[in-house]
Amino acid sequence: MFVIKCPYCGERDQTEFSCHGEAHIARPENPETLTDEEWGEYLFIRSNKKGIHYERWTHDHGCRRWFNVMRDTVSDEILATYKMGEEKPKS
Amino acid sequence: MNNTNSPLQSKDQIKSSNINLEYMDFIGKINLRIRDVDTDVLNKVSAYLGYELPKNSGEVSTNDESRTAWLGPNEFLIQCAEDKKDKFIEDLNRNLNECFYALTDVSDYYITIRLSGEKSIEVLEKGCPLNFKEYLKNKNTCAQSYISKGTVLIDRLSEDQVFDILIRWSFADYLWDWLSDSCSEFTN
Repeated sequence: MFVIKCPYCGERDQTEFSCHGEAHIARPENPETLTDEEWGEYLFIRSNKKGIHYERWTHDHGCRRWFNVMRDTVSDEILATYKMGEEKPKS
Repeated sequence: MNNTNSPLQSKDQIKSSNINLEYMDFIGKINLRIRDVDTDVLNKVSAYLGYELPKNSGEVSTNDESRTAWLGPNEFLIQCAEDKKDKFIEDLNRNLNECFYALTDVSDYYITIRLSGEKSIEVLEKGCPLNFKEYLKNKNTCAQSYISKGTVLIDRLSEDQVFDILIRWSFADYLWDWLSDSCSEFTN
């Protein structure tokens, strides 16, 4: 069984969770001053890393909270999970 | 059982020596959401209910009048008798007057199905990914997960295997059929 540790509920089956893409992408403070290219960069361009990757996940069938996951995209191993707003663990 | 609007009113209950499945008549259910770690609200609600609200995942606090389950770090489900529900909401709203919170009556949003008997966990394990050696081990614990395709809150009421399963109204018919099918191998 593939188990993920929710920072609130503890270890649960992965089927209770879903992934929502890359984490730690800050929304530009003044979007109206950006060029189309810069706005497009913020909206669509992702790092697509091979190796340590930071992602946002939700515990859909549990507490329904969002949290962050540090995952190795090569081995699919989840190295850490942490609450929203917490500093990302060092890779 | 006498409620004409229940989606489960036409279902046959299951009663046997090791597994029972029954539909619980409407229970008052109030959802409370607060700001993260707002101790002022927590204290006021605790003072009114007469017990500390659950602090961690899987905890349930209770007394004779109500039962409060942990749904999230800032979300709780308060269950009480249906005829007391309006008074609870009114009193809580009055006590929390100046605070930032949301109190929602979800009584008709969830249906409660009670599964009991010594084979209950075996039935649940067929469709629920929870590790029952770790979760729902004791009386007054709860866990949110899913059973087959329905998202549920499972609330353990007793050291014996008695579980209240809260499911969305629209999924109740499906879950009942799934559970009663799962129970069938244990009924004599």
